[in-house]
Amino acid sequence: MIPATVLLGCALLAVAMLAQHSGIMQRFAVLAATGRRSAKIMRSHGASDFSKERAARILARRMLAHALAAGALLVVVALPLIAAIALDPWTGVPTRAALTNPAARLTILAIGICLVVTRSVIIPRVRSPRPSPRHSPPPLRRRLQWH
Amino acid sequence: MPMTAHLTKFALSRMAGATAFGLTVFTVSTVPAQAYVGPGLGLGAVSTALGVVGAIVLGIIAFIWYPIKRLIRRIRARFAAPPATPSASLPVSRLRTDQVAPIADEIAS
Repeated sequence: MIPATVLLGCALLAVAMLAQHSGIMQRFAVLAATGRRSAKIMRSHGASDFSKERAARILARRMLAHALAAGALLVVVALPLIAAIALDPWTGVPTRAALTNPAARLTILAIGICLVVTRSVIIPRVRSPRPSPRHSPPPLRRRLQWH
Repeated sequence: MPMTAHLTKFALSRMAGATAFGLTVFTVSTVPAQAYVGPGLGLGAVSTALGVVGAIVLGIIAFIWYPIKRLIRRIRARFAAPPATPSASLPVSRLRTDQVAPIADEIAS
């Protein structure tokens, strides 16, 4: 069960990283904005039928493209987890059983929390150390007095 | 009771029996589906489906509804227009009487 847990944890981590860096939320935001814009144009009374027809034609194409792109990106983001589960019968690693095993899930949760704390708290502190009063440079007057 | 009512009742009872049989068979032979979809993937899939449906609706509006509307408007305008007379240079029927009267006076003088 340990290799399956590790594999599942790595797949979940890959999914989280892909979701964070692929800009999938922006894709869905653009899709929602296109839908709102098209509804606003269809509801408008000042525009002529010719312009509405032209706008609807352009927005339909654009909306279909955005929806398909967002769906494809969603599949790409979920691909590591799908692969980890689908390769269960071929690799012999019981990832499907690990997905429903409470101990494996708890382990993945603990590792995930540790990772988040490390990335968001410990690494930033290490990268930008707070200047301690002992090693800080002395005030200007004292420095002048030394010289 | 008419014959059609008997037939309808019979067909309904047969349909209900078949539905109950099918439900029983499917309930007895259940296997784990392994088809859990989390909230993120579920919302994403729903949004994608709604986007595709919205694009199809917009396409129907753009490619079917507006051309039909234009065609209906054109047909109505054609039937509403008066028959063209070759001798008259002006569409007299579209003019009001106060517009026609000065022109008629001018022609008469």
